[in-house]
Amino acid sequence: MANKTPGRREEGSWDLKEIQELIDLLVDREIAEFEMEKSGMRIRIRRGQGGEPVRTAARAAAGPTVPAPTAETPAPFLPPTHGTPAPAEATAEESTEGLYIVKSPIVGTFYGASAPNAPPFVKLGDTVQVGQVLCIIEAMKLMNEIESEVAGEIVRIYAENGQPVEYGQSLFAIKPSVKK
Amino acid sequence: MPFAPTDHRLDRLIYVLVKNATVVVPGPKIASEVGVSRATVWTWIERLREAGVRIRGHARRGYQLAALPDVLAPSLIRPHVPPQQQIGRKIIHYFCVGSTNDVALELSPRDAPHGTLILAEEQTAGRGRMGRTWHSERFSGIYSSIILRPPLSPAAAPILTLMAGLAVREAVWASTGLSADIRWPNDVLLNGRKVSGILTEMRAEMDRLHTVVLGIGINVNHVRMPAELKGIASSLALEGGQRYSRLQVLLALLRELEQHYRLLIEGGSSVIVERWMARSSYAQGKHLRVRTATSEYMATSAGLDLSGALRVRRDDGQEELLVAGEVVEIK
Repeated sequence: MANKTPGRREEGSWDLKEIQELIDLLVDREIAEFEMEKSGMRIRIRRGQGGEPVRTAARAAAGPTVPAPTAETPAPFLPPTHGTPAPAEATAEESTEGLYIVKSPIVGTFYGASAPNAPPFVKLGDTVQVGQVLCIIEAMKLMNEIESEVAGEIVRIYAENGQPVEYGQSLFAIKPSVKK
Repeated sequence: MPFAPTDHRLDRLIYVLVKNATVVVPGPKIASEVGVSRATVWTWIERLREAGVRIRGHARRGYQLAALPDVLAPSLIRPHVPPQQQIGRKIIHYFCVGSTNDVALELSPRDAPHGTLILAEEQTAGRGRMGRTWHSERFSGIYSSIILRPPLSPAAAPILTLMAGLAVREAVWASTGLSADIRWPNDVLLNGRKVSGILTEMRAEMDRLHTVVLGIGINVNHVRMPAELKGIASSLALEGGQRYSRLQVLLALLRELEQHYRLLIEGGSSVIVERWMARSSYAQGKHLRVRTATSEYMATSAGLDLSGALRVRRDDGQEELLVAGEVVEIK
């Protein structure tokens, strides 16, 4: 790998040519996955597996990963990333990688059921369909039924019945079902 | 007839009977004006009778209304909706339905443009907040849902509920001369008793609002309320001491909704908040019992913020901004 590539933008950071060389090296040596941190910038390259890009985390802090390189598309230049994206199956308890996070579109009160004595709309482990009602957020007697935008399994419920929620607050994590 | 929208020809038949209320209308004349067979006219007259419309006469001599029916038939409403008015430009009428809100939420934007009105003479499963029911006695009240497709973000939508309460209050004033109070966020009260309830339901994504359905119930001519609602709920007739035309109350409601909706969209929420505060004794200095999903406390109201949330000062001195919950006056 060239150390003193001309056209380097900034001391210690990556440029496109360096990344291209790195990819060539990984292909030559048949290395499937590679991660490296240099001067506060982390790069992660993963190849193979049918060219499927790794699903990026829904967390705001998480950066994109590099899709498997192909002949036509050189890997993009990356901002620093945090955390290690992993395939959905390997999701750790703390991580939301590969999960669909349902957030509240309004400030209000969270209700997990349609009435005080009614069964909850969904429970942990339930499989939900697109359009299925997950909860109600109420503000000033405006009832906002939150519907799932993905099909999958409820793997986390962040809010409790009757709890006030803020705009954008996470309500559920759903592990999307694999489409075949 | 139950749970199917009223056939437009049946609607037309009601119109013909109302238009000719002072005379007996021969069956064949009705049949040709409505565009159905004489047998169908007979069937429909029977159905109207079953639904409570008092019609004299029979197939051979002709028919006449025994009393002007206070049916909210689209054909009777439409002539009074100005062409530029969006609220009520499309009307779907039911003699009987489970819940008008349920109907409204099922309709696609193509079938139900902004301003579409769903009406029922009777609801078998009228809904309130949190699974409560709305008592919907036949021909006595206005049981309606109005479909809005506003250019607002979901986060800004809750002010629509205050707008609706304000519009109902003004409509009651315009059509009956009764001066009602508004209890936060949008119950309309006469002498402290609830005569109108509003259940608003929204369908939205994070950043995109699809539909807001204003479910508006107004008790107009109920002569008595169920025992469990005594002292809590009432009707315009019970409080005003006379019967009122549901049609006139409804027409005023559509006008006021149109006007206040325009004020909101063009002028922003501050206009609605200002007017609401001017009309409600609950806005300021009212001693209240506040009930949220998880707590209950005493407090005094201290105005609305721009979103329509109620500021309260708890008796223990703590200030709160009430976004969801119920308030009851402490007397």
